[in-house]
Amino acid sequence: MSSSDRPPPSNLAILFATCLIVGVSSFFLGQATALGVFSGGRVPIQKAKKSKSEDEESDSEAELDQIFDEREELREFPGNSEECKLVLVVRTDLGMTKGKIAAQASHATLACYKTFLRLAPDSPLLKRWERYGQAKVALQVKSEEELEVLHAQAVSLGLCAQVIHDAGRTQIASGSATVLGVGPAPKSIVDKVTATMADVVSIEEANKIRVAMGMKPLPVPGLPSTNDNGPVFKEAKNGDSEDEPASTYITRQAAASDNWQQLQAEAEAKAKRQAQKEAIKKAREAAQRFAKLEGKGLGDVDEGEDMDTRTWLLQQKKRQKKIEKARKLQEALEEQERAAQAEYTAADLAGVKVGHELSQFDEEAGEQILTLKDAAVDASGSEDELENADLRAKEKLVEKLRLKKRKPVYDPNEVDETGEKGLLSHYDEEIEGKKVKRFTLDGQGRGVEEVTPRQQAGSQNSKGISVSLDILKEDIPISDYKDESEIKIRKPKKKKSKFTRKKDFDEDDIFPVVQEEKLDPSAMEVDSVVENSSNGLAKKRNLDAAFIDDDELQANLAAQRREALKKRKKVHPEDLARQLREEASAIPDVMNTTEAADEEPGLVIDETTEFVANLQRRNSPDPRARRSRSAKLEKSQNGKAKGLSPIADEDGDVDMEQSYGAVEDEQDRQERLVRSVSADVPATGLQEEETLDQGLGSTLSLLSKRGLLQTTAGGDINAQFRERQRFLAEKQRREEEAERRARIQREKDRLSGRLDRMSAREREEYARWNNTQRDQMSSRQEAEIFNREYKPNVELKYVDEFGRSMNQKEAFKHLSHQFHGKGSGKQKTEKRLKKIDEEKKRLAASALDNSEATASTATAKKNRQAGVRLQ
Amino acid sequence: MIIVHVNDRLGTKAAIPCLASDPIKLFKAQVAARIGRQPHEIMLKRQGQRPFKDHLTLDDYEVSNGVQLDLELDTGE
Repeated sequence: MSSSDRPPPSNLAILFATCLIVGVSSFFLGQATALGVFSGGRVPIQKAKKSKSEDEESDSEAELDQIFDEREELREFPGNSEECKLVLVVRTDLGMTKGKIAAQASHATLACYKTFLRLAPDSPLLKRWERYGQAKVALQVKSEEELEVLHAQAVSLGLCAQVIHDAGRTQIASGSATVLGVGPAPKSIVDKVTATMADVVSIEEANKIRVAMGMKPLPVPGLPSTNDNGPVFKEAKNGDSEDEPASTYITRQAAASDNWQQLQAEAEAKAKRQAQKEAIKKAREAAQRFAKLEGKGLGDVDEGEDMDTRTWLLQQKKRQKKIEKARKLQEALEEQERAAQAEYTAADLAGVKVGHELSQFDEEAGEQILTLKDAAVDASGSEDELENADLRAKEKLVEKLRLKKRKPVYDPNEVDETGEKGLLSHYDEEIEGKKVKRFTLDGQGRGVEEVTPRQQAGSQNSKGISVSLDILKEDIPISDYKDESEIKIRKPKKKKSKFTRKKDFDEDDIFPVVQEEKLDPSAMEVDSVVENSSNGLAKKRNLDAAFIDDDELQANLAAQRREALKKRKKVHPEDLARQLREEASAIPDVMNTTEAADEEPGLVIDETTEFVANLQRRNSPDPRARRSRSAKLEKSQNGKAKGLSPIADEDGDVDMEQSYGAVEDEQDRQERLVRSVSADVPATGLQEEETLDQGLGSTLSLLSKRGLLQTTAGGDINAQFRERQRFLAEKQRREEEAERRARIQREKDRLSGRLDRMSAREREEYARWNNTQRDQMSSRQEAEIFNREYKPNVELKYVDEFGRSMNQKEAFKHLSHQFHGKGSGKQKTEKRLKKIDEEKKRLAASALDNSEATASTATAKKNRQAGVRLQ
Repeated sequence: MIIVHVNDRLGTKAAIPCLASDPIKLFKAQVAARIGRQPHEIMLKRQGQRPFKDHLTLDDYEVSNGVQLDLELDTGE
């Protein structure tokens, strides 16, 4: 629909006009945008900013082949108060660059605007569009046909539609349609066009069909419904439905889509606003930043240096002077400081306290470095005090050691130097604080001892002048005599015997010791080390020296330990070798003796079996037997001891110089000696087997040891026996007496001739009478004696069927069983039989078997005692 | 008003403006007017579903704006 009523303008004229218009309008638009006139800010950014080069390129080459639609009837949409927008439909199938697209879109916008201005300059749509930020929406189509269809559709709806045809100088073919601009027009109406795009047939067309089919026609968008005569406002509000809003599914559907679109748009707008805000903020911050960075930058030229060479040279001298001055000032300061340091001498230290004793700074201590004592800054009354860290530490150590000792309060050995001692002086430290030893320097390298008030008082009280006698100590002539203090006098030991005995059983000694000590007459008197020191036996004795004080004892012990260590270190290898040799020679001796014993013919009893058999608690050995056996030995020993002992002479005189303890010791020793010999346990620790060839006594003892012979109250039996013997002897004597008297009587009768006068028969009668008389008398006498003296020894003995005597209990049981006519049960009988068997076995045990042990085991077993069982 | 797209995936594609309350029979008539085929030769269905029946409406099949329906040839069987 190109204009035909006007003469076509020449190409040059058109170009000129277009360029002019584009230039001016874009300038004004740009200005307005920059000034923020269009507050809506709905300008798509890609539209607002065009790349410079592209713009220029496009401007220079774009030859607009605009088709000015000369239609007069641009619809005004009077009932529509919607927001207006301009739609730019861009063809993307041409492969235009972004810049090109932007330029073409600008062209389209401008074309639309101009057309609108020309055709309907007073249109409220245009004003509305301008007022709401000239909203532009860019869409895309894939082909020219679609573009054409859209164009036609838009035109058919009475919208302003402009297609831009490119001159085709740069990228694309000449005359090809690039962009379609639709609008500005109300949103909903533009959407009708663009939403359906090319596929949508015009609704009128569809309506025609529908009407032909007898159906309700579709509502035409943007137009009041043709066949609906309802109220207008409803139509205006909801252009596409006559129903109540959201009353039907369809309306809901439509509303949903609308809502969705609205939401989308809102979100978009929000995002855009946000971006804008951020941009503004950024710009503001940048401005602030730059405001802060005022002054000269590195690149800026300094004003001060902005002078010519001459002035610089003139000022040079001044500058040098200034530098020199500063240097001098510094030097002066340094010198002053140095001078102040150099002057620091001993005089400066006058009056400074030193927190140690003066005596601690002697030659041997050497030079000490003193430092200022740590003290709180606000400590009132405390002056500066010098101290040495090492010395302080040492003092503390000493103090700690002193406290550790926990000495009793009363120390008789303590000697107060001042001679003055207060009441409960040991609390002085707690009450008055520690006595601090300190002195003050006087500036000439000397110390003035500080005296505490206590000391002062002490010095006032003391009479006379105390003169130290230590000076004389130096030149004491060397005495010929041994110093008393060096001699150690040992306290006589009371427990000597015990001590020595312990030593006797030392493992190293092989033979029961009759030591040299016994032979040494002065052993008790002086502490002389008899043994070789490397043996280590005698060392302990040295420790028993008499000490009064704990401290002294400690010190002495320490010294002795040190000495012992030294000695041990001094042991020479040859000594050691000798010792070993001696030991080696001693051991074979024992071996020889045992071998000799083993070589004897006959049954050999192993030592081990004996040892094992003897592994038991010794049950009260019979000391009497052993005593008797060793009686002879004892005697000889006694004699020997007497001979050896110088203490008790043959005539029994006792050396009075010796103490009672010593005498007792001597006696003890002899006794012990005897005991040691009597209990002569051989090296194996086993007793020798007893034999029966030594007489009845030994046999008896053997039997008694084995428990075969029971000795029950031996003394009683002996007394009874003796009584009985005496009684019998008496009786015999009486009988003899009676006989003798009868014989004398008969002799007398014979001599008197009395018998001669009698006949034989009478004689016989007489003799018989005499005899009866005598018998009667004697019997009467005996009865008398018997009645007087007889004590019946009642012993009830019961013998069971095996011939063994039963004790009381057994006998009772036996009798009871006999009386009741029934015996004990099977178990009891078995038990008894077993017991009897065991007894028999024991009696028949081998003489060589150490039955003493077995007997004791039996008793142990009977008493249910635990014992060592080796099997 | 809804726009329903009809596509036979062989090159025939049409966007048909209609109402959701339209019966399938009438919708077929509209499609027929657009694509140049007799209404009884047209079979409409959702992809992978059974064909639409004539006496029901688009709404019954829950066809809404922008829905695409498959267009097939109905052989009358």
